[in-house]
Amino acid sequence: MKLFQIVCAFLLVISVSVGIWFIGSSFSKVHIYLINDNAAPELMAFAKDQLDIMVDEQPQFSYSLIDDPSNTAVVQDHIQQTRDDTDVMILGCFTEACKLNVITALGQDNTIPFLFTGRSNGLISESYLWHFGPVFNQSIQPILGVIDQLDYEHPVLVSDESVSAYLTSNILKDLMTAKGWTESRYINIEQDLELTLLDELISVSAKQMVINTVCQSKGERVLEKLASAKVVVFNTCLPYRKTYNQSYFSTVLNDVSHAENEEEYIFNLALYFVQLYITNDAFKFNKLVNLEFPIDNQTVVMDYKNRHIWHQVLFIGNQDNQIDILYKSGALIRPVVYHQLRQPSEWELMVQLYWRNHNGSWGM
Amino acid sequence: MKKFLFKTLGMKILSFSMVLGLVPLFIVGITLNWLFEISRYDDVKQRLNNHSQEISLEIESLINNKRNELESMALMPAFQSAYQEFSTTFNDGGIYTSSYQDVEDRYIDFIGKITERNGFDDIFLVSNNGFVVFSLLYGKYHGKNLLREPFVSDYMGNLLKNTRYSLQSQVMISDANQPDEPRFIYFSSPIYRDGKYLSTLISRVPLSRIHKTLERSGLLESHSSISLSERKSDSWSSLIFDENSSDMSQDQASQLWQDESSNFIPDDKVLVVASIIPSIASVMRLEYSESYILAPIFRTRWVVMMFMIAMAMIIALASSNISRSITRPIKQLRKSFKALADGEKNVLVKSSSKDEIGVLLVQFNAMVKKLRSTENKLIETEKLVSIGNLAAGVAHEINNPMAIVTSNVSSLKDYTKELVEHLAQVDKVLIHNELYDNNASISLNQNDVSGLASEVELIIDETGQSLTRVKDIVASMQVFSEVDKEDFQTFVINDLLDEVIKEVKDTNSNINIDNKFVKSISVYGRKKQLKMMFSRLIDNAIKASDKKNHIVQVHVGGSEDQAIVCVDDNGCGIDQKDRDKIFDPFFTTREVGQGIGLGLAIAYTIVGSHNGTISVQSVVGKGSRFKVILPQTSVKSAKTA
Repeated sequence: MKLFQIVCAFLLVISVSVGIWFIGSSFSKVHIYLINDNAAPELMAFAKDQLDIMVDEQPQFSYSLIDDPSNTAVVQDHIQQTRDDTDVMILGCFTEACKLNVITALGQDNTIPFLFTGRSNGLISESYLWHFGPVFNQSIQPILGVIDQLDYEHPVLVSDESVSAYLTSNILKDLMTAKGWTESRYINIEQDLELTLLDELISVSAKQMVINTVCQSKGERVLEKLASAKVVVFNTCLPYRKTYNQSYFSTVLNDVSHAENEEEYIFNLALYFVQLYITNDAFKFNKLVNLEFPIDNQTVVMDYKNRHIWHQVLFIGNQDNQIDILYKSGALIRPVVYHQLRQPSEWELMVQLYWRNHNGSWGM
Repeated sequence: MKKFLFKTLGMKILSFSMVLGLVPLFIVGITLNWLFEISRYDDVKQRLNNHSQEISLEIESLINNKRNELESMALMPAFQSAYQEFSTTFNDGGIYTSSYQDVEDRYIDFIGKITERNGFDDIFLVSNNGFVVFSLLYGKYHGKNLLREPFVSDYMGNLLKNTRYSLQSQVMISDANQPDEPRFIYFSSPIYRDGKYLSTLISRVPLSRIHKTLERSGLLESHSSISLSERKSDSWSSLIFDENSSDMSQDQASQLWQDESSNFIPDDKVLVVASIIPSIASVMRLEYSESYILAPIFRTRWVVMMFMIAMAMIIALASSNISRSITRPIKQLRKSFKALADGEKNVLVKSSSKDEIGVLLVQFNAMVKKLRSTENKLIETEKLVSIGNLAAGVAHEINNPMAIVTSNVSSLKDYTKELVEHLAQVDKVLIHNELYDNNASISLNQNDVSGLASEVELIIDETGQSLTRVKDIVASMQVFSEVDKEDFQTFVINDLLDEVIKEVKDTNSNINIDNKFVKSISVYGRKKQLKMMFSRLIDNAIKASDKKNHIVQVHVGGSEDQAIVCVDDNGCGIDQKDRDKIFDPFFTTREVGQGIGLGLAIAYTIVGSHNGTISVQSVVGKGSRFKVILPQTSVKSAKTA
């Protein structure tokens, strides 16, 4: 009888252990490589906080940081350390340059999903790229209609040699030409030519709008100069924490009073996507297309074909610190990776030309 | 309640075993069913979500293909040329001029074919300033300006404005001014020439095409209905294309847009699954009847319930069987105990199992047998005690008159002898007187006196012998009464036997007695009585042995538990018919006067008082063996008893 009890107790322990193991093993393990985008330190802190919370709440998640995404060897070393029983995904990047660096480092044969959480111009159609931020046709292109609507004259396009400004300005040039804005001026500034910029802009008439594609610190200086000259400017970069008078910008957030939180919203979209992946085995990546992401009281949809998000976009005008909605897309805007003015191969060639002309660098 | 429960052990065992069986059964059954239902329900929801997603992808794919086809058409130089010519002739004189007809004649075949081939049912070429310079079906927009009233504010006007502003292709669903008015999905794409926006190409497919496409792809199921609602700027417009579907309310559409997950709507007994179709800014609602969705769950619930009832019946039967298997032998035991108490002889119970109950029954049977044996022994002992008491009393009462009789017979013998001698003296005197006095005629008959004297002596001797026999019988009977009057002690039985044999040899010098002692055995018992017992046995063997060649053997053996003593003789043996009686008091096969028949009875009584056994093995004509077994433990227990 005692032996029987010992056997029963042993079997009980075994069955409970197997049960616990089975329940534990029924969830996939996911390791996330967070890309350190040096251009956005505040956002990186936010991203780490969010991931820390997620890892605490859901132990099947883990994450580590890839400090230098431009270094192919570093990226590859990180990825090869991952165990076979763990799904891997790469998450992050808030700028175009960061995105292009990661894609270059991953190479053409990569199969690890890369969840990009910034704005970009598209022009990349890698099958492993999942794009959560708005692309050019969503966040910038509608400004052409806004300019029409507000009866501005031919706009002035300001750019620099950063990849983001380069690509944005090139697409805009094509579209402005298509619009028939033949008198538009294109100003390409360099660090040492900044002083001449003000002189150029002084000649901008009150009926003209400047489209600024220069971002980051240099972009801030451009905006300051434009503000001091009281020139109306549309800023194509992500909304800055600091708003400038007489400036327009676009946002994918319904709540325009918190437009500066757009990057956090996009990052949360990506995290929602990751959660869907982990919480339901049926939601493998291919099942996640055309899926709705109801976050922050607004619903967006992952495109079934190009794996970009259908965003709703608002164009905001800041006139004398008065926020006005200049344009609100009635529906979700379809993400277009390659604008139909040119063939995809032509757009890709333009991207490659930048790479070559900058000695194999995306200028991060 | 307690008064009525568990009146019997069977009921208690039945109740407990049923509770022990049924409670886990119901807990496990209900839990498994619950888990299964949750899993099944999740599977169903998952399947329906997949179905909804498949439908939405199909719709999305259809719209995207149409958009791509229109964009491809917009890239065709033929359309660019056609637009320029239509635009020129339209600006020159409108659509009712011969030059316009000429242009139309040139392009109508190409435009018609390519429109039809791409699945559109109409196509519009719209100038940069809003005029529809060409339409295939000459509809209401033909020749009209879409940027002016009444069209500027309707879907066509909006479609054109959006295309012109954003320079992107657009998709829009037409409004329905009348309930039965067919609705269309309109597609627009800018036409460029030399990198400049030239015009807008607009085309359309009927909204019903979605329904037909879904039907062809087999995605529509009979038990579901589908409806769409288009999101306008501040409202929702229902696009019903399934005759089974119901109109979607504004709130429903808004809620489904925010939360597209599948949900049961209890009031309507339907499960609703929603998906967003972003390209037409619509939310699709798939509705499944609850009975269809839950049918497999209900079916499984019934199966589980039936299974649990069947298992409950099996448990009840098994419990009943277990209860009976336990109570049946207990009932048997109860009856047997009662019968035992009533003094019945046949109280043994049948035991077929080897479990605890079976062992209990076996032990009960052993106990009954032991009890019977003890009872028999007790009766026998009581009998012996009675006999002993009787013998002691009789002996006491007989001994006194016997002493007088014996003394008197002895005195009578002496007196008779003196009388005979006296008569002889008288006879001598009479003879002398006759010799010396011839007149004397008184004389004794000499023959009569001597004969009388010898006769009287014989009688007195016989009387003396009989009295001695009576004395022996009385002395033997006294042994029965003195069986338990001696204390136990430990002694070596071999020494005792040597002593007995020596005494026997002293009185019977011609007897050959062999002592074949295998080992020395100590015995805890009444030494004097055992000595008497063995003396009687050996004496019995001597008397039974062959008169010419006396052979008597005494064997000693045994173990720690028991001592075994065998006394063998080579006599004539014992008949089978006498073997059962030889231990009865006063049974003897010897001639009268040769034995009183108490020797073996005394031996049996003494062995019995030591809890031992005495048995006889005999072959007629060969000899006999008396085997005495004295169990050591029994001896001790007898002492304590």
